Amino acid sequence: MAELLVRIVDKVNPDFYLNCGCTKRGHVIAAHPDGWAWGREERANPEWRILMVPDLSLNDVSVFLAPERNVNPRHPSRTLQRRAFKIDLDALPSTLTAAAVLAAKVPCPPIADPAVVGLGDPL
Amino acid sequence: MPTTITKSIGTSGRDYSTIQAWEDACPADLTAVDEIWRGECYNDSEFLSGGGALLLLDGITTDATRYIELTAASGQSFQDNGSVRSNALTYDQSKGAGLRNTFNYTPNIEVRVSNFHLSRLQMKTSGNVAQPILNTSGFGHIFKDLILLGTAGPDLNGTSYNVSMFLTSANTSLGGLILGGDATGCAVVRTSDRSAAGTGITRIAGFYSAIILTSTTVFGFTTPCQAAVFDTTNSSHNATEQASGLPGVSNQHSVSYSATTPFTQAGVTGNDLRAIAATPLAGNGLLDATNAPNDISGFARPAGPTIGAWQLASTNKTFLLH
Repeated sequence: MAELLVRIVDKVNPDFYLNCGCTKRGHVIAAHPDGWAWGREERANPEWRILMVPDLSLNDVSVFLAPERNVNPRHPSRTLQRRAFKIDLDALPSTLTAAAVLAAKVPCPPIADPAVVGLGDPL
Repeated sequence: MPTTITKSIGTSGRDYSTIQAWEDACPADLTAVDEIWRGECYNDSEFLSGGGALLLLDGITTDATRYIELTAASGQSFQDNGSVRSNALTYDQSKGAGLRNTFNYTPNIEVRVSNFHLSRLQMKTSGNVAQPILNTSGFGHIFKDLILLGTAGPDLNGTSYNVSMFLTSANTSLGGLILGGDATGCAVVRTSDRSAAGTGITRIAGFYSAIILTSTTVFGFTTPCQAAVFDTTNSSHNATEQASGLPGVSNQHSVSYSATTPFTQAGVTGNDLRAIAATPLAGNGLLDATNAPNDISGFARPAGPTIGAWQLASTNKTFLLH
């Protein structure tokens, strides 16, 4: 029931903080129902692949589209990533199923901000 | 001189079917490649999300001349509709490219970069709880000719021209616009179906300059504008139903506000924020001939324009000749 547009190579910005916001390998860019009319460049861009997963619901896919969020509003993070989860593309079998895609779900570990020492509230 | 890279976005044989993919294809450093990354939306179908923001902008280096621009393609905006002057001024995707998000707590567009230009589009949130239509950080953004309708006002961390914001929420703590820059010719209206509540325009956290507010309507709020954050020397020609609270000079206070005045329809049903004639809005605005010579419909503003996003065909001013 779902087709996923997935990045297969890292997008890189030379700026450390902006690079945190770039999509990386395994990040889902967009998800649509089966039979979606993808655009010309969505089909042709060598940095993306379209994964067709007939038994994957769009509801299940939504977790792959969510960005990383601040966990502490008192300390807004400058290293938030574009996605909170990615698909481990190297772990996918040749025949895609919803179970295989969900089993390949990997959290994107938080990136430490080199300008911040300690994360506790001020004394 | 930057090169403008224009891409089409829509669901009928365009470059991209989703706005997010258009953004992801943008070079990570527009200053290095000396490009403007421009997306043109086609109204092939409604840009709809039920599972998160339609667009998250992040990870892109920009500057004032190498920026990201999202707009409607020629002939695809509500402005281009042949009946734009008689159409209601409200979200109606059948009249032009529109973005709608039904997912609670997430905006239509979230911006984490600087120098984003957004124009000629309609946006609506229709979740059950507060959703700011736009949530922007960074700086140098320009918002122009936008119809916004939703349960919570947007964060507009940039300069705004001709933005029409209609707020439908019953939540009395929700304000209208949250600005991080000057605003001209805008309409900020909380539905007349509710009692006045909240603050119409506030300053975004982290923005420290005094905001210049001109020719803007602020209706439906107990406090039109946050105190002490506006430039009271250069703000002028705004309007509200409250007896006080607008910054600057030449403002229209105590303007009658109901479902049918000073807008065509300020109720949720049949909402239409076109100004009506013979109210204090008519002819009492300030013309910004450089940045907002036309109103939100593309109609030319005269000297002494109508306050707000909509320009009346006639300003209805009476001149006595002696």
